[in-house]
Amino acid sequence: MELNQIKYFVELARTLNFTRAAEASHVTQPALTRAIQKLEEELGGPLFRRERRHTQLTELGRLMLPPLQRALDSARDARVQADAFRRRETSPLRIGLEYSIPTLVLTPVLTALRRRNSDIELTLREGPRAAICEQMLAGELDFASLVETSDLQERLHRWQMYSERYVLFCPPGHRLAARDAVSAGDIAEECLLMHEDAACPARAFVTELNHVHPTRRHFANSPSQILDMVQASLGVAVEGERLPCAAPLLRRPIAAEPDTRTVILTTVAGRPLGPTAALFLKLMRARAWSLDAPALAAAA
Amino acid sequence: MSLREQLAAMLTLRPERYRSLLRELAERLKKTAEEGVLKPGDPMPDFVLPDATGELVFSDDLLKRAPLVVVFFRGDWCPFCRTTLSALNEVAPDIEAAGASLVALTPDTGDYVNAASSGLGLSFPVVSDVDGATALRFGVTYRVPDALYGYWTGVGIDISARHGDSSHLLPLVATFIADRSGILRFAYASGDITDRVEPETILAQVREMANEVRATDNSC
Repeated sequence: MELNQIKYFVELARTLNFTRAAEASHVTQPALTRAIQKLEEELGGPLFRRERRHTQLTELGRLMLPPLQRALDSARDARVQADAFRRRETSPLRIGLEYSIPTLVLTPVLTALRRRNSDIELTLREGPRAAICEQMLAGELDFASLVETSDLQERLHRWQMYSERYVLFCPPGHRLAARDAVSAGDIAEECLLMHEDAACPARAFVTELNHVHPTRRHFANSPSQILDMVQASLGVAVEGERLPCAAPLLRRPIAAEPDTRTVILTTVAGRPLGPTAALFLKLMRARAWSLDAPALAAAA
Repeated sequence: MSLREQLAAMLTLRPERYRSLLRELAERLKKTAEEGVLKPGDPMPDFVLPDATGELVFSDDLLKRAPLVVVFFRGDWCPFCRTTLSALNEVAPDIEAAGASLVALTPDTGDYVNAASSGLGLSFPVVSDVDGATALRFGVTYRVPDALYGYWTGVGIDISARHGDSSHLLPLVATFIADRSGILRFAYASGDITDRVEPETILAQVREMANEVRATDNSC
């Protein structure tokens, strides 16, 4: 498979017109047609359906377009990325985090980027999923880390980061501290500390997925405020197990179905990324999330 | 026993259905391996890729310790690749002693990159060729035929999950060696998974290239 064949494929997929794609690629139409045929041989089937007046992508063509477009962009930008990053050109990196996803999950990658270029201009924004997605689609954010759901917009490309359990955070000496696992009924009897926005996935896990509605509740607008209140024995909290907490708070597994969530990284499909953002994406995709497991086990 | 003999012996232990799929693939990829792959004299494509420890690896930095050996492998799920990487690991100290360096590229992402590096105790960097863009620029990319993809998923190997996309692209098994100026001096790629460059051949190549550099340095 050759780079030029992919360039022509992407151009033809954009224009759906052999003449215009050949003009835009500065080759003759027969040369473009031959390259597409060779690519079709390599990929094992036709990429386009040629009808009398119309050219359409086949199912294989639709399947191959996004990954080949990404590979082409990466290949094309490799030199530019390396040079710009090396020259320490300021390139913004704007990331949204859905409520309850801790910044800590990004920091190893951000640190690795900073070690190579200290002039990164970073913006982190926490919020509800709808607002974060809206800002990403409006071009105000490059990436968003979200809790995976089935209704994510098609325009957003997604990669799995990690899966984690929801756990109960309680102070030592609490009546549930010695339990191997706690039930929804146990949580209902407690004073529960929750995010004040009902869109927070950790709150939705308790109230919507497990139908737990404790009579005693306190509200805050960040996980750190919530954990501060747990620390002060004002109640217990349910959060993802990767949420960092200072000792001596304890994490206890929750016996619920489902008891896990998957956290994903998303970006707008087809939108070009700046040098820093492109390298951030590579680092995030190559990150070994299971390396955090021993630290989590020790914390539990 | 040479690496190729070891791999050929491993192949005979695989089910006939799998061997037949691999034979068909090797036949289909003959043209790809002959035509599109970079050749000696071509400039090596540069890259910036994340390694198994979460750090960025710049090819420019690696070239400072050239000759640079670049090896493409499919992933630690492939027993033929694991055997090859272990064999390379044995000569890695000699490669380093010759003043050269070695890097291995896989299309795998996430935990799988670290699994290859730590699991095999490799002393050289393993980097994730995210999106397969570097393989594409070296001309070693191919799409796995549906029948073979189906076979692998049937035995629990899901390359889509490992790569983080659904393109089913893999690199040919390939070895390149670049000199200090980033020009390829050695290139070998094959669609036959047992057809790998012997570690001793790689070592002989880098020693010869290192000697040439020393001779040039001494004559100035």
